[in-house]
Amino acid sequence: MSTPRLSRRTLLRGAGAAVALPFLEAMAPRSARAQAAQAAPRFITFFIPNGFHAPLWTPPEATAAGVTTFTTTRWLQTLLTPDAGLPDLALTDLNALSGLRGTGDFDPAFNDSHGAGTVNFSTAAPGDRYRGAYGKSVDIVARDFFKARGALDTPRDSLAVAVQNFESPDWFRHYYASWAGKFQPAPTFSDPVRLYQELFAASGAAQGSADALRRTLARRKSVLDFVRSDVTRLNAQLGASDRVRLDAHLHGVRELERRLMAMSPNLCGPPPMNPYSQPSQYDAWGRYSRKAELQVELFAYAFTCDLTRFGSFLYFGGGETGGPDEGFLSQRWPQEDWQQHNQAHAIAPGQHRDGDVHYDVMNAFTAEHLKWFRVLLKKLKAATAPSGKSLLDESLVYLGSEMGYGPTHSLESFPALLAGKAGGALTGGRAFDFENRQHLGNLHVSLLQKLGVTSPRMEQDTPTSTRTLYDTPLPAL
Amino acid sequence: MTPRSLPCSRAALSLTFAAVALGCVGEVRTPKGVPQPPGVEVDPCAGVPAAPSTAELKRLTVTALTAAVTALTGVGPDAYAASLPALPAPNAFDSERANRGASLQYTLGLFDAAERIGRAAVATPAAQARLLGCTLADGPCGLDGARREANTRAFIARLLAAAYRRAPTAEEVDELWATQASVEADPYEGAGRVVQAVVQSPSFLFVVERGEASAERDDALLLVPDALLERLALALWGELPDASLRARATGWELGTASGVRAAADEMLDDPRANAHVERMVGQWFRLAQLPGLSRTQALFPTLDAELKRSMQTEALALFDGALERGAAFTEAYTARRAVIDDRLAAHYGLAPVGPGFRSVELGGHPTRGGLFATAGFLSVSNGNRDHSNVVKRGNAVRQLVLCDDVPPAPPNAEAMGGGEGDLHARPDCAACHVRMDPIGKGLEGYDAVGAEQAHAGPTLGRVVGRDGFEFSAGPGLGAEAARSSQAHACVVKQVWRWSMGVRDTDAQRCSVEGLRATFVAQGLSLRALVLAFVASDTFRFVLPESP
Repeated sequence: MSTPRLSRRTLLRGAGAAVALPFLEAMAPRSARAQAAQAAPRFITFFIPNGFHAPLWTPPEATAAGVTTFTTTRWLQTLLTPDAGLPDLALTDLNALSGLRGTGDFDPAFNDSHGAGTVNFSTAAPGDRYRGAYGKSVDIVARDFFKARGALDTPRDSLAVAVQNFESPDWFRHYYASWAGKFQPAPTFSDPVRLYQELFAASGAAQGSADALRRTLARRKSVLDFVRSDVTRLNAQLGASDRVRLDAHLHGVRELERRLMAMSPNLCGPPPMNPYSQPSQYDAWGRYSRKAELQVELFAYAFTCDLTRFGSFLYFGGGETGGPDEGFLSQRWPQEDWQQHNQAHAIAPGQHRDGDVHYDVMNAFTAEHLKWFRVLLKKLKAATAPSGKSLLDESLVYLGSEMGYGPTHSLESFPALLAGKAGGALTGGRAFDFENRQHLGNLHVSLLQKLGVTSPRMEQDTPTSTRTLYDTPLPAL
Repeated sequence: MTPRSLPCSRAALSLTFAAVALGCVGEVRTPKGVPQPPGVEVDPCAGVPAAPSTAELKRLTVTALTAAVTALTGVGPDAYAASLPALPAPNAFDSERANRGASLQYTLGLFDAAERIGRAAVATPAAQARLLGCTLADGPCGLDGARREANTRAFIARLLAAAYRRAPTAEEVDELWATQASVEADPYEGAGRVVQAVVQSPSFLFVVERGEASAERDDALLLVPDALLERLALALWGELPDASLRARATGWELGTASGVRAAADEMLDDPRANAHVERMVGQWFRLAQLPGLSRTQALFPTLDAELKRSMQTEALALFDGALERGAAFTEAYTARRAVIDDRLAAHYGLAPVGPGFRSVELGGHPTRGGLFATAGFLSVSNGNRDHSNVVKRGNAVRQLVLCDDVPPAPPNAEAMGGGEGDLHARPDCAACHVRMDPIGKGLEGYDAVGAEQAHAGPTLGRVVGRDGFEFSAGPGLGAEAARSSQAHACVVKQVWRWSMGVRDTDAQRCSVEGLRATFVAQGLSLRALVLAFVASDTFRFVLPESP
């Protein structure tokens, strides 16, 4: 039975000469109502370091307008490689982009292209070296748009995951793909154990009855009620600077409460892989690949079980990765410093070709990074959304890097790959080359537009006198 | 402002005193405002009182948190430590990391940890009896039946008093009673729920420091005795005061500098003080990172978990007795003996020592002796490189021994290429590398895991700067560092950072200098330094808080 729509004339006829009428939901145009009821889309950003060597990525036929017939270059072919037990990807699932620009550090005396590029990847600006991004990353902009409209009802607002082995305050910009605001990195999980706890501790035992879960949630909520009261009582006794410190704790409590409120019995059981039982397999140097596998498994799970709709995945920018214990590094190569970044810079001029050991090692890392990206896409493709389509079709996934090609340190010629169809807003199977006439910011605007964000813009509060602003999408995407 | 007493007796010096006095070597101290003859250096810190600290809301470190949880509930850290996220900033003390506030990730991890603590606290009848304070079968504090409300309320009041370090309010007791009664049919699970709520509440997790007006200073507040006791316990033991310490403190005069000094002198005799010093040097010299040391297995086949533990044991053993009266802290730098086992003996090419760890006399061994010749320090200072790295080691010595804030290298530093000559010639590289590389060269006789390696060319190291020196190998570096005024000041700064959880500021420069002078005057005694520090106005006084 169709829902009757009221016309203003009908209402007036019945109510006499009323001047101001209440806005009834039924009178709203259908498109607006549909938009108001639209659940948040799924959006993932995926960062891999050191870019691509152009001949291995950019199809020679690519143009700024985009082409549908093109050479399947090496890295595109890597994405089409079959994996046992998972559906194959097709070129129509993908859009290959090349030739985007980034922005270098505002302090010309400062030359940390990798750090600047990493922040460019998701914010279109370089960020401050020690404090990070000047504003929100594109995934957070999208997330906050839908959250403000009440369209985000998953247990988690977003999820940021990383594969890295150590942290140093010196390389702060390298560690985060998601930025909640200026100088505010989003909490990022680089330990599979903690990520596993995070996904399951907040949701309670995913096994068991809905009734048991409700009791667990009630208990947790009652505890948080007391904690919040204590924060309020203590706050009243503190000075201004101490209240700021306590605010961070209160923020955490509120976030916990929000997650509990959003919780509903989770139909997904926990994945069979449990990192608690396997710490020795990934928590040491030289277990880069295994850690990536665990992190991708859990990250994919968060999306396929609808624990979140927004997320970022980051491979630390060419950082410490371990030794020849790694299966993806050939035992034939000399045993030296296995770090993609260093290998990239060790390639002698004119030796950027297969057969040069440094070039081969650098590319072995890229192949490894793309392999787990491919697995993630396939897990999304294997899952079915409520619409009946594959989750990948309903999603938008953005793969990028911190520069076009690692050895150059240039913040030009950034590559990007878009996967998924954003629920029908994006057509796949195209290759673009923007020849450095378009900025990453324009790509971000396009992404926001495809996700359904109205008046999309990327805005960063930078040290220059004007705010860095992008509000124009890529012309042909 | 009236003159203040200072740790070094500068006030006793007169204009005519142009030579050495009480460790103020080679410096002339002139009281402020007094004209000085031409050519005489003026001490800018003369007459400057010790700067107060700030009373900041401090979060408990993991060490203090786990000790407090164990004391409250009997639950050890194994039950929940995995839930607490490791905080970044490996070059900071954990007291500094805790003072950077509670990140969202930490709060989420703590929530999970609190749930585990609550469950563990009531998991068995024995645990319940421990928590509630009686044998439940026939004890008066059982929670069953008609006794539930009264006894639970009494338990809540006792728990809150211990956890919050103050008397609880009726509102708090009422709220916790309601919290557990509404969701738990089982009274003991209810008690676990109470524990879960209390151990993640800010009144437990944070230390609030309160001061009051004092006749001693009109520009700062004197910490009230309870707050001073907490500050002392956290600084000297890494824990909150327990009931026993609070009982002892009733006989102490914590309102006076001499009273605080006497109290601290007693506390430094407790084994917890030695354990806290061990934690400090473990974090300071990165020895705590040894278990996670990474090297290519094929290149270092003998480097296993056991050898890493031995390295750590040897290096930490150098600081045994650091708190003893009359002991010089720098004995760890210059020691001519080593506490090693057979694994380390083999690593060093020495004769076997037999089972366990033994103290071995090194005599005039040219490359062994002191902290900077230990495999442990030489390994962690080399970063994660498989080959000895002059830059990494030089940087480590600069930061850890001299407290030089060397700007970090850009990640693309290696892409710039070039050898030492290039790096020292390029203006954007030279400023740092001329300060680091020459130090690392002096340690090139050791490979990436601290064993000796053949090295072409001289291994004379050099520290550039006003107090620069040259040295040969680890023992040489130790000897020079033991004499270096910059290294002495670094000890002061590190003790300050460790105790307070914050770095000294520029405004506190004179306070640091005063403590350094005392440290030197007292024969580089760590104990004397700590006592001087806790008795100083920096420790005892706080600036008024902004409303």
